Amino acid sequence: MHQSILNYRGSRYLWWSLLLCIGAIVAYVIDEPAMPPNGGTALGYTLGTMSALLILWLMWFGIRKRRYRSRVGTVVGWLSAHVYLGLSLVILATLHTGFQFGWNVHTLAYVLMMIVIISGIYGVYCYLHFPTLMTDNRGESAPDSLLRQIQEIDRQALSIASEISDETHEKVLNSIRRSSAGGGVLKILFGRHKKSNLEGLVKEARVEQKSLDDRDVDSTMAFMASRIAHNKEDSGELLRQLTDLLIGQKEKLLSQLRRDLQFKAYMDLWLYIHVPLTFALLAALITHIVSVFFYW
Amino acid sequence: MNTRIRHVSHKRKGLVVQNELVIDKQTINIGRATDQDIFLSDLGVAYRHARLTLAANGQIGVTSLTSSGIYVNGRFAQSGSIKGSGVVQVGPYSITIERNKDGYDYDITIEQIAQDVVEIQSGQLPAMSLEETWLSRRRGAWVFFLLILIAFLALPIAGYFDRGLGELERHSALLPDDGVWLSGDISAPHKHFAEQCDNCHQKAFQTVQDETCVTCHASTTVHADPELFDLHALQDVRCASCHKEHNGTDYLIRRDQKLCSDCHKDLSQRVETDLDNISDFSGQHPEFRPKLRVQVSDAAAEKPNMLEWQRVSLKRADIRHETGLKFPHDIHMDVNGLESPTGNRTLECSSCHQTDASGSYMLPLEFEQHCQECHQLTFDENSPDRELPHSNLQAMSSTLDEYYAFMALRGNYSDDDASTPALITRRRIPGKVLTPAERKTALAWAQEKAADVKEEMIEFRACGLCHKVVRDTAEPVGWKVPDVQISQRWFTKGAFDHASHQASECADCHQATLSKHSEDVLLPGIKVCRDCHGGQADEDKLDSGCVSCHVFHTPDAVLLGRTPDRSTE
Repeated sequence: MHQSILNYRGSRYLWWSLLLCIGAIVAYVIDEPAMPPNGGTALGYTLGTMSALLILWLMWFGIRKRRYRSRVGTVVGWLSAHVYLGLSLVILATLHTGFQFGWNVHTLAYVLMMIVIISGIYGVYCYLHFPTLMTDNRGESAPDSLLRQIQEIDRQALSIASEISDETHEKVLNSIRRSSAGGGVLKILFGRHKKSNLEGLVKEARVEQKSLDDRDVDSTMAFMASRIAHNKEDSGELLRQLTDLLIGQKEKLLSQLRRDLQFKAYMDLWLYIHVPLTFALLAALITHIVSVFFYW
Repeated sequence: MNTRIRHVSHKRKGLVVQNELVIDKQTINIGRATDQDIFLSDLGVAYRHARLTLAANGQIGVTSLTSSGIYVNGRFAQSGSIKGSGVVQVGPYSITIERNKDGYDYDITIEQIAQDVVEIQSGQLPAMSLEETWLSRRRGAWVFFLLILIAFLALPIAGYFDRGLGELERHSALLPDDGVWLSGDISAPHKHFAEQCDNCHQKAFQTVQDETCVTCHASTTVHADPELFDLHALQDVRCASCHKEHNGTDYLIRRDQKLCSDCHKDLSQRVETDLDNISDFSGQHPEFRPKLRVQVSDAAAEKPNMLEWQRVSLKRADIRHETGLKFPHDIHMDVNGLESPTGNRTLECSSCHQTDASGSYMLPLEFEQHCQECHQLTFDENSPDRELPHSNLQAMSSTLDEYYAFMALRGNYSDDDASTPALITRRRIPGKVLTPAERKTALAWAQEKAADVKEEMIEFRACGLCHKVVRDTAEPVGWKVPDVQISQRWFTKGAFDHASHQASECADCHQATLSKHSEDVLLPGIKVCRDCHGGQADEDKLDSGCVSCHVFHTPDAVLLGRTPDRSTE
């Protein structure tokens, strides 16, 4: 079976994490504190210290994964442990609270931690789900090669167009400039672009000019068709090559590229919650600990 | 316009001019066609791509002649204008225009900045991943981190050290104050001053000190005499060790057994004490020791039968409580009833024993209320409604003296006793005054009669019937009636509350109908309580921890505000 972060070394960190959780639950059940269960009992302090250290260790993963030369375990192993031990925090920290919640920094830290964990769970889903979709989408090609293929098609199209006429050349040049993939956050995420499959791979014009916003694709196609009809003799073959390049090949590549960017963005998006909120959590955690002992 | 047009390229050795041309034209054409003023050979350029219009005042008009457009100073455009100098990009070429340079009106430099137009466009690729957009994990992390740290940590701390700022924060709807640190509900009694945290948390990073609590709770008593037991040395005992705030109202007072059993389960090994070791009500708990008045037979004592208050264990067979009364419960509680002036009466417990308004404790018994209906203090058949005063021997004695003196002087006293002078029994003529001799006889009779009746009443008919009267010539009247001592609170160390036991019958605990003597102690032992009450481990009984009956702050102990070690601290 393929080794993923979930079944790394027979899911050893799953068992560690389960052991930790069961230990904590048993301790919580048999503990008879003099006061209602809360973070300030002996067990409360223990669970709190464990949880805080665990959070720091989980954050260390962000550093460890960039240390390519580190020999302290493998990154897959670290991630597997990061996932399972991160999940165990749900139990440890909840028991640490003694189920006392309120509108205060302590609960803020707890809520931030839960959001970070939930975003992490979604991240695991993404890492297991999207790579398959991405491979299915672009087949053997690497994302970079998609781009290179598109550029090559553009060059060929430009070269062919220049042989046909100034007018055709202009159209092709326009389509190169105006076809797009990526762009802003929403464009990447939703993959919505103008019907510009024929327009070549060029950044979406930042200055939208009405005169240019002309019937784009449809007009280009109509133009091609009319050219084919009228110039069968001299440039018919060239135009057929051009439409085959731009419609047959480039369109497919472009939509593959856009899907690829979209999947990649989905896969990355959760990190934009996970990482910043982890640091929010760190601040809340520091506040939680300092404030508790400030007013001891 | 005198214009120099140069095609250049940047090499390692510097700027290399490949082609230079000077023209004097106002309109300069740019394109791939060979007749263009600026000839650009790349396929990314149209035959007639753009036109520059140079004016003497430095205004340069730029117009694209093809819909694929140009970039004027980096911005895509169909047309635009440049003032003095600027850069126009056509296909992969950068065209730099400068005014008044090297003696020319305009100097135009053309350089190919990319292999072709496709490369130019790919160099201007938009964001292909979220990392290339404005979204930034690092920036988000810093913003959140600092925001939370400043708002919820720095500001409240600053408010603690600067009272003015603290006040401002407390009254501001936007600024967070140290209230955001509140970890749980304040108990109800402390709520009214809890808004200001430093009322209790007086020093940063220091636990709440006992002195702070004693500021208000000065009249709370200590647990054990600090002169005899140093609780602080025995264990870390602060007020807040037991009274945990911020857990809501219900938990301000500890009720768990460990509160007591931590020390009391092996107290005798910790300190020198006559207290028993106690760990649990159902297990290790001694028999109750009510406070009783007992006879001390101390041979050395001056009075061998001295009475003294002592706590005596109910398990002692010879247990007695010296009430000073002669009261048999069995006779009074006869199920066949008692003869009374108002007919046959059957007494119940509640006929005499009634609780106070709270229902918790029994009211003291009163002769006038509970006894006199049957035990009337009448003394003479001539005056059947007249009764002697109770609980005052001297008043009683005076009453008898005065009564019989009056009868003797008035006459017409009916008496079976043959020795009574006729002067006393005879009816008198109204207005007739006794002679001195007659008066002397009458008063002598009165004195003798009063003394007889006094003795009879005290010894037998009245006092002596219930009280253990003692003849004592040293007393003004000649007798002494000992104090009556019926405890109002038998258990001085534990609390018992009749109100919460109303569901039980009196006889469930008190075996009164069998008691023949007032010395009998009718209190139930621990065994009776254990029928219903269990220790903390008993699951089938009422969980009765130590504080169900006992309190930590010993009722008759020293006040917290007066303990010497606190006042000096």
